[in-house]
Amino acid sequence: MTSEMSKPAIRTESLSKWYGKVPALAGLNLDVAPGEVVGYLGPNGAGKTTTIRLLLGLIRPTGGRAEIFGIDCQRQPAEAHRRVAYVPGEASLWPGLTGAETLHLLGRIHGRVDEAYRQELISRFELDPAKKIRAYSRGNRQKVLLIGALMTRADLLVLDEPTSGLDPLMEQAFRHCVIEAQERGQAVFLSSHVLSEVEALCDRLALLRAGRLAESGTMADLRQLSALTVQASFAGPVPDISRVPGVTSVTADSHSVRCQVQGSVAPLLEVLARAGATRLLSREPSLEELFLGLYGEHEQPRQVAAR
Amino acid sequence: MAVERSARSLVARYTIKRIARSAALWGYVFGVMVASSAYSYSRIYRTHAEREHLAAVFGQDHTTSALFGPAPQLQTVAGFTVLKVSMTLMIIGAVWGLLTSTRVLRGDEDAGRWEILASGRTTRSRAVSQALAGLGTGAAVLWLITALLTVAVGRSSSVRISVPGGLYLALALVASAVMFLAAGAVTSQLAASRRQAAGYAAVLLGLSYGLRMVADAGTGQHWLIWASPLGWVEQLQPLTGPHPWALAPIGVFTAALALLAVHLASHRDIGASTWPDRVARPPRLWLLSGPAGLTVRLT
Repeated sequence: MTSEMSKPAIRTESLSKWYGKVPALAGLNLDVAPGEVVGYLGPNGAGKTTTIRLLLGLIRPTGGRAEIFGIDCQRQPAEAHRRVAYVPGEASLWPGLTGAETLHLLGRIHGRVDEAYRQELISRFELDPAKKIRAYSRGNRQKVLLIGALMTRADLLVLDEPTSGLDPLMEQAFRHCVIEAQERGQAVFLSSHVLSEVEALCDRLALLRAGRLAESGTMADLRQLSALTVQASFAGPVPDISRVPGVTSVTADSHSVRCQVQGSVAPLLEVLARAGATRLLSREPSLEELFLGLYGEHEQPRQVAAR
Repeated sequence: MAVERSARSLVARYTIKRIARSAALWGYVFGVMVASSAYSYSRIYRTHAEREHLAAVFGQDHTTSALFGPAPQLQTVAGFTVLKVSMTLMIIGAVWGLLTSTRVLRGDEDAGRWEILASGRTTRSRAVSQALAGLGTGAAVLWLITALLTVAVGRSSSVRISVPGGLYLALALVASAVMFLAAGAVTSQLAASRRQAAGYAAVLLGLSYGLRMVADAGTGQHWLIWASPLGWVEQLQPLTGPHPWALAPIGVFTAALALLAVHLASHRDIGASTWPDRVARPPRLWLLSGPAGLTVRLT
């Protein structure tokens, strides 16, 4: 078991999926270490769900390969699935089954259940397991899928939009579960549009765009690639900082100026200090700003390998 | 603590659980129809002369033969029962088979439930194999209930069908269901939706019935009976002159389709279809004016 756990939880090598002439995924090289929480982001249609389905052997790659704890996902999918629990992005459950029956079935599918933990999860997520699936709201059905994955204590959790439909309290419960899973040494591969959740939980991020890995690294790594927001206030005239190296997106009024700074802030600070700035605020970009900056403006994807 | 449980046969057990009630219900219907036909014959046609007259009128009639199959020994309870129920239950069984297998295979896949099942300790092809095993077990339930009621009816002094004869009759009545369970499994791999899959299998059923009809219409093309799966079932001739060797093409056809379904499943993505699906087209807005129009269009 020790040698198995030293292998990456996920490793992809040039993993590709083409539908005719359209690349849904092109040349993905990605590693997820055991016990690591990796966020997988991208706009709609970027290839996130395609990646997950390739990892699970549900679809066949056009090229490349993928492994889960060293097990080839295509050649030995059943063996790979022993270590994985999966929450699909969109799936209908069985309307005539109750929550308890569905959890029983999900446990049988995986083959491994921590019964005591399942009961704890049912309590944490405030699920009434006696109700039939068709009587549940969208959020409660999602809870069933979440509990079904978490209760297996699988070495790797593959979660596709796991908090879709959950209220903020249940999102909080989910975050605690992920933190506990990580503390237990479980790896988590999280595909989500809830950027605050990804920012809070993930050790590393991988950002996908048009089927290609556009950026990957820690939040700190990614922030270095993006601009710092600086705001300065003045008692006197506002200086012209539009020509300062690294400064862009300058907006100014009579007593303050706001701008974005890429690279060193030293030239800007020098100008602001000479102009007698009375107040200085700086803010690192949020994940949402990174996301919008990457997908809203950039034409060419940049490759940053930080593992 | 974590409890290890076997997940290997989960899909088969899940499939059995899904269809067992339906199979038992239709088995009951099949059995009741056999009983109803047998008892009604013995009550309506009481005398030998009445039975001979019936046989003379319908026994050689090509129209009857084309619609319901040949009618040998109509002067007996067995002959009349076979004529009355076999073609009807053959069609009902085939429809049940193709709808059941397309529901379990393609329908669940369309709903995303197959993705959940296939993410367990199985592979795409193994999951389909297990589903087929489950469907086959469902067909066995259909046969068992039909057989129990048929044998029970056969013990009546007015009906007098032997136990082996009753078991064989039940087998003949469910044979088409078995074949079209397998046919639906194949079309579930070929088609992009449950509706399409059921449609393709229904076309096969229609062609089978049409070929059998031409073969039995007295046009001198009786050889066409061997080109039709329903024709093979007809050749079994339960109670009136059994030909068990006709089970061979039925068995080979079913096995071949089952293997083909597994093969096709292993060579396609979950959620996709073997035959290309047109994923986009210009809008067709006809009938999309409200619920009634939508219903017509979807039907």
